[in-house]
Amino acid sequence: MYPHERSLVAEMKDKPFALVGVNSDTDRAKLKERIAAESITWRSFWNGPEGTRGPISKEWRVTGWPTVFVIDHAGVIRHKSHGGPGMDEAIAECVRLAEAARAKSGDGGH
Amino acid sequence: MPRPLPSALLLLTAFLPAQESTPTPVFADLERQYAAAQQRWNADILAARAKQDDAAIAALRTALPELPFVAPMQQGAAAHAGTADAVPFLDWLAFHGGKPAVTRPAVEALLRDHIETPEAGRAASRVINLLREFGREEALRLLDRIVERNPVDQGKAQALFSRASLFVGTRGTGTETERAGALADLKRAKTLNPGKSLGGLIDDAIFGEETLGIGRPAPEISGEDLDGVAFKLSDYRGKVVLLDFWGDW
Repeated sequence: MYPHERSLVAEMKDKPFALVGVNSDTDRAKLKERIAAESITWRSFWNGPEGTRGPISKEWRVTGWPTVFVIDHAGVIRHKSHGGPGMDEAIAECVRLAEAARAKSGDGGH
Repeated sequence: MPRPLPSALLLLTAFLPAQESTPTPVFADLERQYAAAQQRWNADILAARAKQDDAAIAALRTALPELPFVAPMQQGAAAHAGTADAVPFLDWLAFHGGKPAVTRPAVEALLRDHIETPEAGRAASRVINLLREFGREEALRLLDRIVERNPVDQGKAQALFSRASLFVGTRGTGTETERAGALADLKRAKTLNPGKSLGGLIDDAIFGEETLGIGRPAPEISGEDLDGVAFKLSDYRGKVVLLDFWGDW
């Protein structure tokens, strides 16, 4: 999924959007080499030395990789899937709503 | 204890829904041979892995232990088509047949001719497995049929769980109303003595919808990044977040 993630991050550079990873690799040193090689720029939580059985994926009931959640600007879950159909649409819709909310609160300040 | 009780019990059991059918000797024999073939295959692949013999591993991967049994199982199912004796053959084909061309007709026959058996309930999981082949509408129709007509609690629970998975969870796509219906189905499934393993899956699906469902506030994550620097998911409030569970493997 890296190429898609990279283009998403580039496309959304000036938008109210962040890609946040939860990484389930067990070897952090080896992973950092890969991150440099793959030009991965986004930040990730580390799921710990237990890898796929780590605490964050456990709490989020993740049993397949990749699994993605789209969370809106108010912190509400709006989409979940394995990165398949609907993910990009959900991101675009949430970003539109976040920009609208931002514009509105901006207006309110004047 | 009054004397007539045993005979009354006997009479009662005659009216109970069909339980596990007694397999024909042909099926019992095939099943034994299959178990032996499976054991041999497992031992062979372990040995090949130990020797790092990639050619042998590749050969074993294409010579799966199920393959020689597909045709005889299909013959058995055909020989007893429409009768209870076909059920163990169909059940085997539904779970071990491999290709959709083999598993799909077996699932269809179970749900068409043997809807009241425990095996038809078990087949609910195969309907989801064959979702691409059946299409969503037909899959739903088949699962509805199990929920309505299968008298076995565990079978009904499996079908309710499988049906809910079409609407909720990371593979489900449902409207708000459909998701609420699926949640009710999951709670109903929980009351039907689903057993430990299916019960665990149902619990996770209920938690997944109630706590991690569409429209719910995302739970906080407090953790460390790959450099050991602490940060929180809520640091991103005000932005849309794509939370991506990933691994480089």
